[in-house]
Amino acid sequence: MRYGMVIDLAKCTACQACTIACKAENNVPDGIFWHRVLPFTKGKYPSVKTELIPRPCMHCENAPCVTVCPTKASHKRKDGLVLIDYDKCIGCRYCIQACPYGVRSFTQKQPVLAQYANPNVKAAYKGVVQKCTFCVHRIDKAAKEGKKVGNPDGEVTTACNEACPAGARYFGDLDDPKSEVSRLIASKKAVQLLPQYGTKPQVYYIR
Amino acid sequence: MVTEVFTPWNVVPVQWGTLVVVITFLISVSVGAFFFSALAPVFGREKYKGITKYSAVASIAALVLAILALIADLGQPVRFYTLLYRFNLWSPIIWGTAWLSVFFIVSLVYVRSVYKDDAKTAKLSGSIGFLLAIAIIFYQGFELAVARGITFWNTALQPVHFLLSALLAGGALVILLAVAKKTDSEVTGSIGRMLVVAILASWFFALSNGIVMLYAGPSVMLSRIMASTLFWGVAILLGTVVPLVLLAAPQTSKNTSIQAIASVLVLVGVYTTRYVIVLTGQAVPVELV
Repeated sequence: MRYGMVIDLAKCTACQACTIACKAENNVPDGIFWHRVLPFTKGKYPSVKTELIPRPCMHCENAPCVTVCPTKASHKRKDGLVLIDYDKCIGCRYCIQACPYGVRSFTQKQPVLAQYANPNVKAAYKGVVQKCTFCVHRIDKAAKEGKKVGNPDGEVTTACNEACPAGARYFGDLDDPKSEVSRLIASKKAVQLLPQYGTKPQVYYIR
Repeated sequence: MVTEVFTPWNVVPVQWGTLVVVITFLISVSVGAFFFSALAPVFGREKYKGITKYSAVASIAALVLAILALIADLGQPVRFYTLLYRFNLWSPIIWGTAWLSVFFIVSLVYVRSVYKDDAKTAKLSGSIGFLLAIAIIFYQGFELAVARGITFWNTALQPVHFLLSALLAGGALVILLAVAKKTDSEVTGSIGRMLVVAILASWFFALSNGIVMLYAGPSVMLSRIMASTLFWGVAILLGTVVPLVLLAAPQTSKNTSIQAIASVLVLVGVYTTRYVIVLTGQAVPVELV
């Protein structure tokens, strides 16, 4: 069991709905974004190309953040998610240096929860590191209720996937050859970002 | 100097800032001062007997400050004690914590034995301390080197850089203390010559690292450093070129006041180089494609 994501860059319009949905779902505080759509521009005018890359946490198989965490606050679960146990984090920020994708954020100030805060998500507090969890609270709730996790081949998925108006995002079990994500990776030759670092990310992109 | 990284729609602060630079600098000073203190009791170089005591005190003082600053820098400093029972052996920070703690205890024993003129204990604790100091240098190097996304840090030469920094910073501090204690200029001059060799070695390694990075392709990091007046003016010119000339030239190298000035410049140079390396490494936007 290895939860992963596929993002089709041909369909993505960089509307940032996923970015905002994540912020709302996970009580992400002011100034911090777990998910971002980042532009990368190559070339000089007039031969310029810009790629807009939605970037959640990659939940790497070979996560460097897990390797360097001194207290095991950053850990990899059996279902493939890389999570942070806030109560074990000492705030050394080594994981932020180790992550080549820049997905982690340090909580500089004590966040003030909004009125519309999601009660199902434990918010991070001052002095610890936070990042995308693949909406682990939704996955755990689905497991309890016996619902299947996946997009589109499931009932429950991450907030970013749910919000995408272009249907550019897919979620599921990478170890299941019949899942939509596995099928797409094989048929559309989806690629990983920064493969040279050997992190084996579980988020794939169709470019 | 860049303190923030601009990524469109968001600004990310540099996470390991000035305090972390100060911590690594103090550790280098502590380790380096210990090396020079150990020259007489451990390696039998009787010429340096006079500097043994106060170098040992300087080493432990810098170490205590470093450990306190390290705890203060944590986001959750109160949880520092949890490292005693919950640790990940793969993390360089755990190696560092372990070796710094043991080095502290061994340094206490060493300082006591040096002041009580207990030569046998001084040699034993000094030898163990020496090995721990080497281990600490390796830890410092690995701490940066394992960050694979930061090409400036991700070099096998990192522990070598920290070794040379320790020798330079420790040696410079020892010269300053020796000049203040009116030690014979032959001793301080001799340490000065060691610093000259260390400066030349650090140029060699910086050059090799720089050339390899140049051939690795266009690099925002490298171009930032090449354009940095802080790096070239302070770290290189004031921090290595000027002290090299002052400590090597026969007309100036025997004068203790000039040795002291050169040592201050070396300390400034080591600190500035460390600052440039730690901050520039982080102040580069992530390039995903």
